[in-house]
Amino acid sequence: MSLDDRVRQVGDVVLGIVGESERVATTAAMLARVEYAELPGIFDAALAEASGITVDERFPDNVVRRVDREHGDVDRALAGAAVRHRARYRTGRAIHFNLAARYCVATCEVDGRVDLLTSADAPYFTRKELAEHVGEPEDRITIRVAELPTSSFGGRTSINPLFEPVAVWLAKQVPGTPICLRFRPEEELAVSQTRHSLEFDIDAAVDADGRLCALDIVTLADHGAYPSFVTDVVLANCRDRALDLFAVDNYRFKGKAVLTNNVTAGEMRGIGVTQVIWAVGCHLDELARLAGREPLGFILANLASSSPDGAATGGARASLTQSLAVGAERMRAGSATNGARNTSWGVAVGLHTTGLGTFHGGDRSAATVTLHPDGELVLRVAAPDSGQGATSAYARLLADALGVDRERVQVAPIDTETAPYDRWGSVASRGVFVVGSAVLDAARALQDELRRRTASDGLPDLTSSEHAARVRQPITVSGESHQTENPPTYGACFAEVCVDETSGRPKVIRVISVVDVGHAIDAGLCHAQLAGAVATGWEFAVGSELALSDGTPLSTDPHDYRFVHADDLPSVETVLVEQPEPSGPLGARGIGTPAVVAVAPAICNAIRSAVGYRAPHVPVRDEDILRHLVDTGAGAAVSG
Amino acid sequence: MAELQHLPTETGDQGATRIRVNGTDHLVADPGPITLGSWLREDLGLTGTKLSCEQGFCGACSVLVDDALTSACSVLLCDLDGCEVVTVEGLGAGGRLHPVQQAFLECRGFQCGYCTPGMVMATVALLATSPHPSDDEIRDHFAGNLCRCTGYVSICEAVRKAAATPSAMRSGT
Amino acid sequence: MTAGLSTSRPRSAEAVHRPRTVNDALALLQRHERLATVCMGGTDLVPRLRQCPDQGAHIVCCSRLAELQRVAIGTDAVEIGAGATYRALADHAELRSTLPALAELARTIANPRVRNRGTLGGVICAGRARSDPPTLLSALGAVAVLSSVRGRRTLPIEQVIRAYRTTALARDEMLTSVRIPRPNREASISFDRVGSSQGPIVNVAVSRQPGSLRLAIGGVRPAPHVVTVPSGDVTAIGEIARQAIEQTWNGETSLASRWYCAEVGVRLTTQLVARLGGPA
Repeated sequence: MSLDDRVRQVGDVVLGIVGESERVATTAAMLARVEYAELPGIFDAALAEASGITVDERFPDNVVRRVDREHGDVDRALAGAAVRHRARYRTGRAIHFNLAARYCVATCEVDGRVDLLTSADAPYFTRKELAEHVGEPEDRITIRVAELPTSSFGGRTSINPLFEPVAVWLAKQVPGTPICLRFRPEEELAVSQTRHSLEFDIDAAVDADGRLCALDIVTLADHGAYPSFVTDVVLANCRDRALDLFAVDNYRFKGKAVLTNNVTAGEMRGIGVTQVIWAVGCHLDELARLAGREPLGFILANLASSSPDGAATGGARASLTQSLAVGAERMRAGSATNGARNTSWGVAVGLHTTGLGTFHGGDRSAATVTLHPDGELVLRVAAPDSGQGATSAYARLLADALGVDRERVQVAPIDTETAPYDRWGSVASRGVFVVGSAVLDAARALQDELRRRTASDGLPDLTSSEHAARVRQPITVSGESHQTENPPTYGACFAEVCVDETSGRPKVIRVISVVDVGHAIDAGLCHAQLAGAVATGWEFAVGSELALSDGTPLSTDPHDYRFVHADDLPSVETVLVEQPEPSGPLGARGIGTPAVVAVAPAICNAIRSAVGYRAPHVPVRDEDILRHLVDTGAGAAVSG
Repeated sequence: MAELQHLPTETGDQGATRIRVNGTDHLVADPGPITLGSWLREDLGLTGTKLSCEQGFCGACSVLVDDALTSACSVLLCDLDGCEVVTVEGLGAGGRLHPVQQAFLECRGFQCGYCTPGMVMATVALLATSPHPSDDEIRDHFAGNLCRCTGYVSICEAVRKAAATPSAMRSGT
Repeated sequence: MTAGLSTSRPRSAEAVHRPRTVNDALALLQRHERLATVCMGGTDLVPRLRQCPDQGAHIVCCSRLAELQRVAIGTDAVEIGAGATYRALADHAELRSTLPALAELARTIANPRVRNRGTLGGVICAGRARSDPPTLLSALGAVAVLSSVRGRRTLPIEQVIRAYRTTALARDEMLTSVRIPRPNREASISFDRVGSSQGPIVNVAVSRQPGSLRLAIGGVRPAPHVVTVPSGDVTAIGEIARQAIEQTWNGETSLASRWYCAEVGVRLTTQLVARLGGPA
């Protein structure tokens, strides 16, 4: 679809050139002349539905998805409440800026079969999407996953319509010849799919007892030019996730995703939930202040004691009461806030669900294990490592379950010819939770098979030499898992901020992130995930966005962007709380994403505490804070 | 510090470039406008040095040129006549990791690993001039090395750990 | 979109020259006048070779010429070769005592990789708003020495940069050194900036001369803006800075709005003047 005669967004393909070298292809490209007929574009999501301009013929009014949810009587609760607060929030297009730019090799065999080597978080899903884009049946396509991980964070969940289909299309022009395609650094920055820019209109109220009695959220998602399944994901998370955190008797959500000619949005660590919990976390912080309540106490008083979609016993209340207590004690102990000018701390809570159990009628995974005569175990899953250590976690789960050394387990390279079917791969923090359960099932299957062969009740010693003598042929068994839950993982974040009076710049001087990981299978990796999540949250809150003017990035020079650097995060403390999740392997929960969510609202609430400025937009602009300081006289232009 | 062994230099107009990489001498007849980074990866097959932003911003391509940390994407090969280059492949000896690499491994100072060679080289450069850096010094030194995964916590730990290892101050092979 | 296996081989340059002397370099510039570009380290130029196919077809590498790496501290002036790296400046003991503000900027600018290869010649001729040294040098009253086979001339730093990526250099000219008047005992200088390690949004340098203050403001347009203020109070100097920024702000190259640049510029200026011990 990106290969038709219309340009829908910047970075769209107008011409494909195959050359024997990059130099030849570039020279040919410089000789090409393209004539454009200018068409009207739509760049403002708020105007998309009534614009009369159609981005994609399948969606004449540009609306690709509407999602609603309601319980109680929101209007009545709002009207009768003690304190009510209404505001609008907007989130920027955060960018992945993956250091490993998109790169793939496509080959179309003479008989039409397609082989694609690429980075993919979910190779089977990639195959399905690619099949739709290039008009081939799925079984004619093989996806092979590049073995070196990339810091995907969702950026490789979906294919990019401007990339993999283009490589395959080019390969079809020269059957039998491998086609290599890569994004230049400028393309990786600008058109590698952003976090969705969302607008929230939030109306909320508390009763006289300080209980949240009504929450009304209207969301507009700017998806950009090329529709995909993620419009569903982003809106579903916006719709449901606040209810995992807060108990509210009257709730209403209306969400809409529209197409525009802006850069297409895609998956990014905590899609939808990062945006909505930022907006709700800021809004409730403000509402608490208006109601004369201390924000931390207000959160504690309104935590949900069950999750509408998950099975977590006790819900947010059980998980977060402890996390908030631990975090608050730490923050108060080491805070620089006392007396320091323009310095204060803020708190927020967050969550994300683990896996896709309730999203698509259950979340299934599979693993196979082959025991070779030499005792080596080969594990196959279709969930690539994204640098989070998933491969090592799977190997460890298998080795521990079988009671063998980890060195004995090899995790096989992944392709759709040999890997067991697993639609979702490494997306949605499901790795250890869903895939890990399939690995444990495969371990049990292997033990059963060995018991059957040896006709003995005791578990055979896999390391013994007699065992090697008995197993003359490789034994392969399969394991499966099927999750119908997607239990939330909850976390709390405390951030301390000092606002510079000269520049308006909020300097985040300390972050404490406390997450209930259920059970820490590998505590070191858990801490590492939490620290990385703080950086992602920092960038969403006070870093950079892809700023567009009529759909075109204002800059593709990374020097113009504020990506998080070591000196931006002087003090990050990560704390693990372990309250076992009954449905997870060994009680573990997914942790990659949930720790991102509370960071941005905590930072924005800290800015509010420090200088009185409530940011209606992330990333927060220094300029807006400085203007607030000038307007309120908090920082006069002439000082000292 | 490794002994610098400058080769005899013949800096003629468009002449050959002599360069030592990880202890091996190379003579490139007419390098033309190729960058050090492209030459290392494409001509020498030393793909440990990563190219990412190719604008000197991200630090993934950091190598040592005469002990000085350098963006391999932002320097022409022909500008390095007579220089000694050390890449991540040039660290460690006899199958053993360099103490800085060992520290990154033990502290898990990486996730996807794409920034890691640059981070390791930056650490080697830092410890060569400042064997016991303060935390502020570490953070300032890495102001030009981007990591998208770790949040830098484990990287800074790795630097501190490496600093506690005396032989970490050796830069080369 | 680019197909092909090879990565970032700069394609545009046809030839790279490594002259042995400055005179050889100047002769090359004369010979390839229209197509020659001087490389004085490469931190700015080399990445652009990949991006801009119409860069100069002849690159003349000059940063390693010994003549251009000299730092000479004279009785009247300090002369810094165009090819001296920031690191060399930061490590230069005599420069640190003579021009501490410049040595300190060289010690902290950007990141270690830029400091190891970046040069004053390179940063001035890059012609970008987003750099700190031109602002400081302008406040110091520095001039650029421009050489060609025709001879030499000098030009104040703030006049070398004409517009974004455009300098006042003739096609056969090269910036060979920067000459900075040696500050007398009463003179003092202070510099500050708002921005990140990637570059300033606004920077201000104030140099105190007998009877006047020399104020240079950068970041808001490619060339620093210089004002000499004979006397006045802090507020007046702040207002002078504000007006200067509001008048010279260039939306094409600035990272922030006119209002923000002016507001920050005023704050930096008044703080710097206060740091120097009040107005002259």
